[in-house]
This record gives sequence, structure tokens and C-alpha cells, in this order.
Amino acid sequence: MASRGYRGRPEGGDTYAGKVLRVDLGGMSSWTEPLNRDWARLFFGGKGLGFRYFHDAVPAGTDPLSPGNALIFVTGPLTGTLAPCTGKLGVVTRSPATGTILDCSVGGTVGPQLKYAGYDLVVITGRAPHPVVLVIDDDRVSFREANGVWGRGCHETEFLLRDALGAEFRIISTGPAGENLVPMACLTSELYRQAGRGGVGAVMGSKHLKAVAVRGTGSLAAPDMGRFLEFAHRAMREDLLTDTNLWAYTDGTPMIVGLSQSAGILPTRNFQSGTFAGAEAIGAEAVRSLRVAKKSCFGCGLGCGNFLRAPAVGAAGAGAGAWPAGGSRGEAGAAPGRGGEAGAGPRWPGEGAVEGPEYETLALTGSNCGIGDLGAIIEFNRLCDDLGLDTISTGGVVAFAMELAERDLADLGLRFGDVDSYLRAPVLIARGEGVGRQLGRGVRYLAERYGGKEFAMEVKGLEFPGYEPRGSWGMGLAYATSDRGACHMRAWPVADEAFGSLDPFTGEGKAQLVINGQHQNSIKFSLIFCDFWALSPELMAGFCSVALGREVTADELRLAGERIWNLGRLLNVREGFRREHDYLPARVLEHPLPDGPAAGRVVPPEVFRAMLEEYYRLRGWDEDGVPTPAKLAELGLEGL
Amino acid sequence: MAVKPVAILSIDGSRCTGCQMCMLACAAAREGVFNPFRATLRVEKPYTYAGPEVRFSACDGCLTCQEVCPTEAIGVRDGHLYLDLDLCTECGLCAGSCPHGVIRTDPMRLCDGCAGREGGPACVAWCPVEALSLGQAVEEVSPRG
Repeated sequence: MASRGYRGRPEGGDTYAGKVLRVDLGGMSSWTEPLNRDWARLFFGGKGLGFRYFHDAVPAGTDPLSPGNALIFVTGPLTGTLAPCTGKLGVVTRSPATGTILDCSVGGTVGPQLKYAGYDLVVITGRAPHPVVLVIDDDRVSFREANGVWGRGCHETEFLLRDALGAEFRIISTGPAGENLVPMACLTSELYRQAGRGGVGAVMGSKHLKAVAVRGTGSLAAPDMGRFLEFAHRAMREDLLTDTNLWAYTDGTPMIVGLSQSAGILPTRNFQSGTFAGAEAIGAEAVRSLRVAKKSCFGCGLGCGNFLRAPAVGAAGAGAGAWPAGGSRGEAGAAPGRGGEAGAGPRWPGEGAVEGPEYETLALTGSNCGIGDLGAIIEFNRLCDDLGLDTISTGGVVAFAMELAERDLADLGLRFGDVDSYLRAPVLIARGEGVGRQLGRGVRYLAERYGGKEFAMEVKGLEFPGYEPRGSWGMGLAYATSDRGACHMRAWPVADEAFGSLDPFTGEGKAQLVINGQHQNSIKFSLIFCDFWALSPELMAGFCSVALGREVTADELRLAGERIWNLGRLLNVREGFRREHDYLPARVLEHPLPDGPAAGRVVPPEVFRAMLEEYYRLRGWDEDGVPTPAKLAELGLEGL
Repeated sequence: MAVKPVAILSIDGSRCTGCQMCMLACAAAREGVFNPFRATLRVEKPYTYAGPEVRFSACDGCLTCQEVCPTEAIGVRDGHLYLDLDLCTECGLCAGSCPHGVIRTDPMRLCDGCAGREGGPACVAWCPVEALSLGQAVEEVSPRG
């Protein structure tokens, strides 16, 4: 199609789009304003810039599901350029699962499209009087009735909206789970890319916003294109496309199943064990054997996406149960399961080949639920992505309910290893039906209601991801201090400990290790480089220098990483989060792992306490975990 | 079989991951902007009911553009298509007649295989999975001779 955007080179002298789109759903209105360049200089984009705009837009104490909460979509300064692996889209809001600040990122193409449409950020507040789709078509912003897609799965929603609007549109949507305000609801884009954690889908549902559809046809330009292209091409060839990163293409994250199993930290049966007898059946080789295609996000040289053709679900037969409320095909009750219909073509969008499961899904919805049937995990993955559910939290809560039954504390119909009930859970959770209503409220809620607090594997209300801290003690500190609750993407010390050469069974040096990781990822997710490119701060600074028209140093980026992390802490402190919320469950601190290389280990409570105190001290926070005025002044955050 | 007079791009669909860096590189190298819509090739890997599917549109050397150009601005030189902007009146007939929709207007540009570019075509140079290549087109001889 012809370009309708900018003719020729854009103004501005850097790779920002230069504009912010503000959307008030209550008034069904939108307007633009110039990008705040002072904030961009301090926070760059993505996570950091999203935090800064959030701080400005939302007062303390705002209910996450109220109209006053903001849902912020934010790109990075390099998004849409030829800097590889910078095409993700950041999402920032206050989490309904934890009450903390929350940032997620989602791959695909929607981020770059937003940038080409002319926006660095979209700040959405209010609640629409009825369900709508926000359509951003370059500088034309409109609201479209969501009648035809409300109630439908994310996959079908994308197909319907692209049919209606045009194939160039890229969609990010919330599913039935988000519409029903389930606090583990995610956002889905391009079928199998998710902004996964903390209930961002429920925030969007609470705003009666079903989807955002974006088409951007404008241009971006670096101040000196020749210099940019030479730098970026060399970085891609000499740094990105090397053995350090190409695991992402070869196998992608499923290869971590083998690493975790070998280290004895593969979550199994709700973290009762760190090794799983069926690990091979859900590992990299098994995944590779089903692979039919690879797929990249926009502008990514790696291509981590594995599309699998799923086998029939095992002996237990099919039965994901009924399709989402309203009937994704208008036929509630039709079972979309796969069993016994060999040769039948795909009946649902997204069914022909399923992207994933990624490691976290294999671990949390596989071994952690006692499920070694890869076909069942793939189907669970597909259901969650379509219904708009975070697979990590969904797997975590299903596993917790399975242990509740095992210990006779409560029977929510789920049993370790039972595929049939397991595959019914996502639909029930998304619809808020039957036991799904309780399951959807998460592990912490279930523990308060039925007991089992000592094995409720969560921090701040967010369910654990796929690394057992008893076999990698720094990981415990990373979970406890993560800004959005138990998360593996803020710091990943497991790479140096259980998967590397550092002693995993000591607290020595771990506070600094976790802090370094948190700063590195804070700036990485603000510049929006994908997690899977292990690039140095120096290389990131080089990209900034060729993109922004000023020399940026690695030290400036390290400081920005610390600034962004501290702003996240401030946003949590103002909601009452203190040291008592930086905890680990009793299972990690008191119950020794029964088997594997970490057998007999806990994270000893005195070691955890020492790591946490050292962490606060090194950070310049007081003993209650509050940043000191001196630290805030040092970071340019005074007055916030 | 006969060799077409211009070099054309071909793709190994089994390698392509749909990253679209080729399109970004095309517009960046030739127009100095990041904008996939300005590329003179189109590569996508959208999701269909059956799964992800590579779709590839690029000049295949059919020379329809040369035939329809009223000012003889389009021709072939040293095995590459070229557009002479001094002769071009930006009428857009070539773009409208291109069966693959890969001639851009406003400003006018077509794929000349990056003739003269050091390191070869930008799209090929940037492809991270070596899915793209530039080679001679082979044309089947028409049965009518």
C-alpha cells in the first residue's frame, strides 16, 4: 500500500516519534502532546518512561480496576529502527493482582506500528461507557464498538478486527479473562505474544477496552543514517548473531527445562520437588520434534518463536471443555479438544500451530502440575493465550489447588497429573465459573481461604516463575525484591548460580548480583532490548549515541537503570509496600528439597535476612526498604 | 528456459522468520528512513488458520513497468532494472501495473537490486537467517514461441 504518513525524513533529529497520545475513555476523546524530552533523557522509554508518566498520571491509592488507573503503552527510543530486537511494546499500569506498579512487555509488531503511527506512548485513562476498540490509524484515532468481539477469544478477535479494519493493522487485545476482571489476565498480540503478568488484561477489561488496533505508515530516522546503519549492522553480525544468543533460535527457552532439571530447580508438583520424572517428555528435544515453523518479532535477528503442531492430547482424551462465554464460534458447549479427530483441520484461529510453550509454561503448567504430556501442555498454552490468561500464574494456581487436594485441605477438582481437569481450568478461570472464580483470584487468596500459606508460592500476590530458589539462593532474593512480585525478569541470578559457576548455596555476594541484574534489566527494558540479547551496557550506549544525536555512556545508562529501579520502589512505597512485603514463602525457607542436586537445601532464614539487609544497605535504602532522601537526590528523583 | 535480463530476489521460505529487517534495510539504505512501507519488497509471515505462512512479494523481472512507462524512464542496465528520475514524470503507471505491488510512489522508487551498493543488496545483507538472495531470473519459454 502507499505510504500515507510522512513524506521523506521526519523532523526531530533522533529516533523518538516525539508525540504522546492521551486517551480518555470516559469522554471517548483523545489528544496528542509533545513527548516530555526531560523525562525521555532521564528514563529513555519503555519501563522507565512508562513509570514516569504513570507517576504523573495516577495518584497514590488509585484502585487498579477503577477508571483512574492508567494503562500505558510505551515504545523505546530504538523501536521501529534497525537496532535488532527492539520491537517490543512496554505496558505499564498498577497491578490488580499485587497492588504494585507493573510493567510487562510484549513482542510482535504492534510496538513498531505505534511508533510509525507517530507515538512514543499511549496513556489511557477512564472507562468507556460500553465496550470499545481503540483504532489508531496514523494520526486518525477513533473508537469502534466492540460488540462483535467482546466475549470472544483473543485469537478470533484479531482475525475479526483485521478482516474489518485491514490486514496491515496490528492488534493487542484482552480476552474473556480480562473482560471478567480476572487478576491473572494478560494481553495477547499476534496470537501468541503476551504481556503476561500481574493482570494487565483485567485493567484493560475494566476500562471496557477490548483491543487496540494500530496501523502506522510514517517514517523514523536517525540523525546520521549512515553511522547508525553501520553500527547496527556490525552489532548484529558480531554480537547478536553469536553463540551467546543463538540458543534462542536453535531451541528457544525450552532448552532451560534440561538445565533446570540438571540443577534440581525444575518446579515440580507445586515446588514440592526440584526434579521431574517426565522432564525429557517436556524438554527441548520433545518440543523440537513437533516444530513446524520459526517466527520472529518485528526487527529481531534471533527468532525465538517455535510453532508446534500439537499431537492429540494423551490417553485422557480431549476436553478443554466449552469455549469461552458467548461462544467463540457462537456455540458455547462445543468442545474444542483435539482427541479422536485425526486429520481434521484447524477449527479455531490459532489451532493450526501453537507458538510455545516457552520454558515458564513448560515448568509451571507442566512439571509443576505433574503433567508430562506435552500435547496437554500445548493445549493449555493455547487456551490461556486465547482466553487471555498468564500461563505462569494460571499454572501456579492450578498446582496450588492440586496440592490443596493432595493434603485434604480443599477439593477444587484438580489432581496432580490429571489432564482432564487440568485442561478445564483455564476456561473456568477465564469465565469466572464454578471453582474458576476462586482459582482466578490467585494462590494468595486460596491460601487465605483454605490454608496452605506455607506452600503458597507467591510474593506480593504474584505466583512464582520457573526457578526453585532453594537450589539458587540469589533467585530467592530476586523474587522477594522484584518490583512486581515473584518475577524472573528483573534479575536472573540463576544464570550465574545454578546454571553457572557461582556457588548457589550461599548468600555471599548475591545482593550485589541481584542489584546489578535489576539495573541492567531496568535500562534494557526501558531502551526496549529483548531479554534474549545478552548485550553489554557499552553496546546499548553505542546504540543510544547513534540514535539520539548525543553521546551516551554506559555509566549514564547504569545510573538510569538505578534511577528507574528506585522510581519503581517509590511507586510501591507510596502504596504501603515495605520490608515485610519482601518475603519468601515458608516452603523455601523451612522445608528442605527432597531430591536432586539441591536435596536437603532450604534458603536458611538467617541467610535470607542477611541478603535482604545487605541489599537495602547497598541500595541506600533504610532498613524498612524505603529509598533515603540522599539516594533520591543522587538519582534526580527528589520531590517524587 | 531463458534467463531474464535482470537480477531478482528470491527467498528460501523455510529459513525466513518474518522479522522484516529486509524491508527496513531496503527503505533505510535507499531513502534514509526507517519505514517498512517504503520498501520495494514485501516479506511477511502472518498467522493463518494453518499456522505462520511466509508471503513474499518482490520484482520478478517481468518488465511490465518498462512496457507501460510512457517516458522510457525505466530500463535495464548491466543486469539491473533502473529508473531515470530525469525522465520520470511520477505518473505512477508503473506502480499501478506492477503485478507484485512493489514499486513505490511519492517519491518514485523500484527495486534495482541495489546496483552499485557496496556489499550487495541491503535486504540480503541484513537478513539474519540467509533466507534472501539475488540471482538471475529464469523464464520459461512461452509455448507459443
